[in-house]
Amino acid sequence: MVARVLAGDVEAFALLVDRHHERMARSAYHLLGSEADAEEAVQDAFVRAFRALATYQDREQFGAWILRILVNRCRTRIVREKRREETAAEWLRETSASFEPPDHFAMQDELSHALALLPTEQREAVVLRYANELDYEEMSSITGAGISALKMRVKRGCERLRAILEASRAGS
Amino acid sequence: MQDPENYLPEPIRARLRAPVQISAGARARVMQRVREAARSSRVAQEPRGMVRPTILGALLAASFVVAIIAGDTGSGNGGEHRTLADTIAAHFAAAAAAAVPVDSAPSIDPKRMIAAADQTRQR
Repeated sequence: MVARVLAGDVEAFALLVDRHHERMARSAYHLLGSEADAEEAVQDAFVRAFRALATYQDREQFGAWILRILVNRCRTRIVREKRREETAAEWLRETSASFEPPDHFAMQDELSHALALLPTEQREAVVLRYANELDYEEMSSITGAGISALKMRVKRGCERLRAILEASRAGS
Repeated sequence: MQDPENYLPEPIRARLRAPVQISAGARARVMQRVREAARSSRVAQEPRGMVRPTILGALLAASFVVAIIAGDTGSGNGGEHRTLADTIAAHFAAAAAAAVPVDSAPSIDPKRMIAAADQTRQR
């Protein structure tokens, strides 16, 4: 399919979109916590993959390659969103207004709320491990992190996730 | 998937694995953007705002440049040969003659300056 797209058959890319869209959407949603942000990140990732298709090498799975692009897009979005929130908070402090952090994570359910409370690296590790069902080697090639670091992130992320969910249930 | 690490209970893992439908028509919108990207990359491959030089055109341009440097053109003033330096000097002399003298210093409107600074900051 990649060869067909590279030969000029743009519509062949639709087959790649069909095959990978669901998994990409799931990952982006769990990483970003909002449907709208997830859709944009997935679109960006596919368009970037399309533009960079000539650099894709067969020795890597297409799914892993495009997931790496998506994870990078999500990281960029998370950093940008954090910066925007910090700027807004600073501005509001300067103007002596009361500040509640903007709720950029659509709190659609308690799981996405709990995931949003994890540090970015732990959230990424938990999502790749459990939403994408990847092994640590695949996770390492996607994130660029070492296997032992990823195992630690998954362990800590899961502990934290469970604690947040239990606290949320005890409070409700 | 088996979880030998046993970090998360199965109901939570199942929710993480569950399909997420981000919105209706999301796939179609991806392809729409891909088609746009394909169109724009095709346009970018073609030269814009210029005509591809032909071999004849390139030869003509090269011969013209050689002629100017050698001073073979523009021998209009009484048969006198004009070199490239003469051409440049004549150009600047004509430009200086055509220039409109300004009798006052340029005025700066502080309000416009601030507005311009605000605009550029937002970019």
